Amino acid sequence: MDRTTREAAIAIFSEVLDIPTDERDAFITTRSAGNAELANEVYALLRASTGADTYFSDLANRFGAAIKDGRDKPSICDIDQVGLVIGPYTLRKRIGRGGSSSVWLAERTDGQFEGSVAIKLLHSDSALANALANDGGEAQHLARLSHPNIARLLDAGTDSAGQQYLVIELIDGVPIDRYCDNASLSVAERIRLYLDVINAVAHAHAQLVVHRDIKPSNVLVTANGSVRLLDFGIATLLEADSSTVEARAALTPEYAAPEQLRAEPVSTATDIYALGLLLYRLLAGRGPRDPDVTNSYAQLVAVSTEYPPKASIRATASEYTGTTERALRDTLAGDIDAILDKALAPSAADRYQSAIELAADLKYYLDQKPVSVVPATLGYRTAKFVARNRGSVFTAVLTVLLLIGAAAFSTWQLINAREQRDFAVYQQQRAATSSELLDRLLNDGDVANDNVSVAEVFRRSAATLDRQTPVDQRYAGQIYFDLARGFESLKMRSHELQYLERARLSAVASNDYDLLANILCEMSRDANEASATEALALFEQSQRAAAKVALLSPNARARCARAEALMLENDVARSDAIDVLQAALGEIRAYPVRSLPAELHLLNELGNHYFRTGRLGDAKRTNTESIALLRATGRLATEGGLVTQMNDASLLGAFGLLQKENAAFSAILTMTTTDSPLSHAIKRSLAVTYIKLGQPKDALAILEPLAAEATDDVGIATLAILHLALARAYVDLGSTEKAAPLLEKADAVFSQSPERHVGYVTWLTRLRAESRWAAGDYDGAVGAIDRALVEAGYGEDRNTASRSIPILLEPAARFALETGDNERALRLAKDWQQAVAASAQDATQSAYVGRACFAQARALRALDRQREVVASFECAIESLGNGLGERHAETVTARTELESIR
Amino acid sequence: MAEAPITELLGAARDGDNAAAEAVFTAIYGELRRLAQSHRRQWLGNDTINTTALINEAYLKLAGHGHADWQNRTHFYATASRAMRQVLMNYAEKAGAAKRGGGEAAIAIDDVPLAGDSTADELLRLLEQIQPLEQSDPRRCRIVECRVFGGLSVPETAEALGISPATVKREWRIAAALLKRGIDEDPNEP
Repeated sequence: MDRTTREAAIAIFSEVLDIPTDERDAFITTRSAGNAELANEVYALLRASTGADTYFSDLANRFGAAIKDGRDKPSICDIDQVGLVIGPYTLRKRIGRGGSSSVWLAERTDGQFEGSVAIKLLHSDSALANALANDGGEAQHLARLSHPNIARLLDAGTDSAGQQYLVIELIDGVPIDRYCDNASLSVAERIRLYLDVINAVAHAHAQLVVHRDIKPSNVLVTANGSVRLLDFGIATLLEADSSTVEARAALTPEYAAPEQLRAEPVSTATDIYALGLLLYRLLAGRGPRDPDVTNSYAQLVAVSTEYPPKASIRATASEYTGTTERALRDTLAGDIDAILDKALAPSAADRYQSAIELAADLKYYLDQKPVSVVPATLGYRTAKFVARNRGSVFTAVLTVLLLIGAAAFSTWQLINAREQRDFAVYQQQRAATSSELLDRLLNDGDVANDNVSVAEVFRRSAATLDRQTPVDQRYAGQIYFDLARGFESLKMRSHELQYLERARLSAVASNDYDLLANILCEMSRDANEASATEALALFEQSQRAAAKVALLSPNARARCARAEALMLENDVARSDAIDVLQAALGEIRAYPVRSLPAELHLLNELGNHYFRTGRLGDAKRTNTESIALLRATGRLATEGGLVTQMNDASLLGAFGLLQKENAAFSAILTMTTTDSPLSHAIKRSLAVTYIKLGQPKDALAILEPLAAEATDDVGIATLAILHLALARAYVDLGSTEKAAPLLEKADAVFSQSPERHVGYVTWLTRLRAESRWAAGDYDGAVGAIDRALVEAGYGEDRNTASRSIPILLEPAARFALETGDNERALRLAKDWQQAVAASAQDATQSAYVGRACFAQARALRALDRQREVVASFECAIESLGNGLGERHAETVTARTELESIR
Repeated sequence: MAEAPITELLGAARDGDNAAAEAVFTAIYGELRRLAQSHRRQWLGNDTINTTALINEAYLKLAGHGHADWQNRTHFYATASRAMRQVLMNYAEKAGAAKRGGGEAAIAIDDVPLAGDSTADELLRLLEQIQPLEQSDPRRCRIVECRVFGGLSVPETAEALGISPATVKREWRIAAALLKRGIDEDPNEP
């Protein structure tokens, strides 16, 4: 090939490289213009080019190998040494080989001891040999190391031929990395095992001995799982008055510290680094350095000037069982990454100052306590705190976090750049204040270490905020408001009011009218119970504040609508209340940015109003909408989500789907933590579903512990409702004497505002009547129920509109049946059926309808009205079967009785 | 350690002082030889060392890690890559001479053991391929030295030689193909 062709080929080749692979043939054909030799040469270059990258990248290593000592070739000398007698020992087999020594399995042959030892023969020019030759002091110091996790140095000396040797306890074990992987130890188990290695190293350091070659093959684990650190052969004794010694030979590069690679003096920090690499290997499944890095001194030096890649990123789970790579990486992220970073700091000064400190952090990690190394950030401590106290103050802290973390404004409000900027500054300052608040809270020894109550967390939050230096009123107002709502959710009324007032003052001081309107509406809602006049006054104030805001934030808008609706409801203007809520919902949905919390609050309130006005179908639709929204946004398990689901479950009850209601509450309970503020209400509701199902014992199993642990903190109304539920269960079980005092207590509360507790007052009446019946006072019982029926509007026209009426008609019909007044029983049962069918979505699904039909069937049977009785039994069987279940005792009884008359 | 002198020399060499450049080369060459020998004794833990490692270590020795002026560093690597080529050349010639049972090597690297003959052969042939570049295309030759012996990446090579990375990349692709083609060709082919 002539030079011109070659150069032409190179020219074409250099262009071909930039051309897509599938167009190259055409290009080469065109450019070589029929010159086959030229085309062939281009193809030859292309082929050469393909393999060139791999070839050249490998070359530096291979040339390195070429100029390297061939020390690993078996030495004739080694073979000669088998059977060699060194002092009282005879060499049997070479078991290891290093740069400065070889290690032999040897036996004591002078008959003094049984058993094998390891003997290390030192090459004559090795550092240790030199040290031994000088004064033998080093071996003496090594002999001083006596620790259960360090292989013991038994003897040292120089034999008659001048061969220097160390006699070491023979350890029958496997390298720690292989041990961990073979046994498939968990992260925690690996750390526990590793702590023994640290103990051994700490012991050596205390004796001023630096190991300098800590690596898996020098840490053996015996069959019984105990750790032994080996090979202090190149260990270095620190001068008592100095913390470093001059470096000697380079070592295992994979486990070498930066200062060793740089041939700088080593210190105990060098061992810390190697310990870090060892830990990394054990936990991540592989070391931080890739093999091609450890093969290259240059790259090794380069990487050793940097922190290693995070173990949580490099980890491979292949040596673990029962964990996925993702789970392993999650486990290592955070503390372990931080601990490794501290151990593997490129600069010795940045590492753990002692092995003890490293061990301490690992112990903290195992105990789920904060480790020393992670910058004490708020999020970190919070995470730890929550992890430790999962069952106790978890909800409280989360609530505090969520309250304080919630943004005060939505950016849509801010029209011009200046406002945007102010907003950014505001948010930043608010975040800073919140962080400081929580930081102090979490630093609070009691909170951080004890299981303080939910309420206590809030109290301390508030106290912490009070202690803070005077803060900008703008964000103080919002935080005070958030805290007030936290107290509200815990029913800590006086705290709530106190912080609402502070929030109000801050809002006034900072001219934050949106916040002010929001606060005033909350105050109005609170005032409602005590004084309608005050509630109205507060609401009017709120509207004056709201008028100063161009567009009210969704939260304020929603809260004020709820306040207004509440007032209207108390005026018995319920349909107006619903209109107000619907209007607000429509408005905030038209806002440029959707506000889910505000929307959900309104939907929930709307559902409640529908429920209370008996528009159960509308309530159900509203709830379904809420739940879909909650589910779509992952909020089902939030407090709001749980409340909505509770309401939805209650609707099932109202529809007479008692079995489903029970299942729904059971399901909700499983979504709740024991210390959730809702936990009490959910359990109570679940218990009541058991009562409705005719299982009062199951109800008591829940209610009695609930009553035992209830404190006044839960609120007197809540307590009264609980007492009523208990009384109901006792009455159903015939324990009227237990029910009586409970009914008294409940009465004391409900009678203060009977109009607010109509349903409960009706139940009081019924339970008292049932108690009288059980005591034999039949006339008294019947009379009490009759009077209550008249009061509820069930007069001559037998109007069943009031929701109290079915509650009363049930015992009324039962009493009539039992006294043999079958005509009356039949009439009452028919009205009862009509009343409950009206509130059921589907009468054939309602247990109440089934019970009413059953009562009618019995009356009809007693009256011997054969034709109607079958229809009534069939109604009972169908509705009971659907509402209570096919195998429920009542369904079965109804079926049996029908069969008996056929 | 010869920290200050090499730093000064590197600076002078960069400014075009040929004598300084020569002195830098000599210093680095000497250090590389010394390191190659000491590594054979000290590098215990790993079966391979490589040329890049040696150069890096030479840099640490000569310039000191506290004086890592980037320009000096890149210039050092360019020179060291050339010096490494020389070290290997000497080694390969000695190995070749030993293989042929020939007499004294021109420049002996004392104690160099004879690794596999194939490596020495391969090294010789690579060096033979590079040789003509020295004359015909010095820039391409420098690029090859940096990439092959210095273990420098494309951007590092560009930095060391003061040319654009795109140029280095293009030239290296061509050079690598040519060298590989040369090495793969059967030498006995007419």
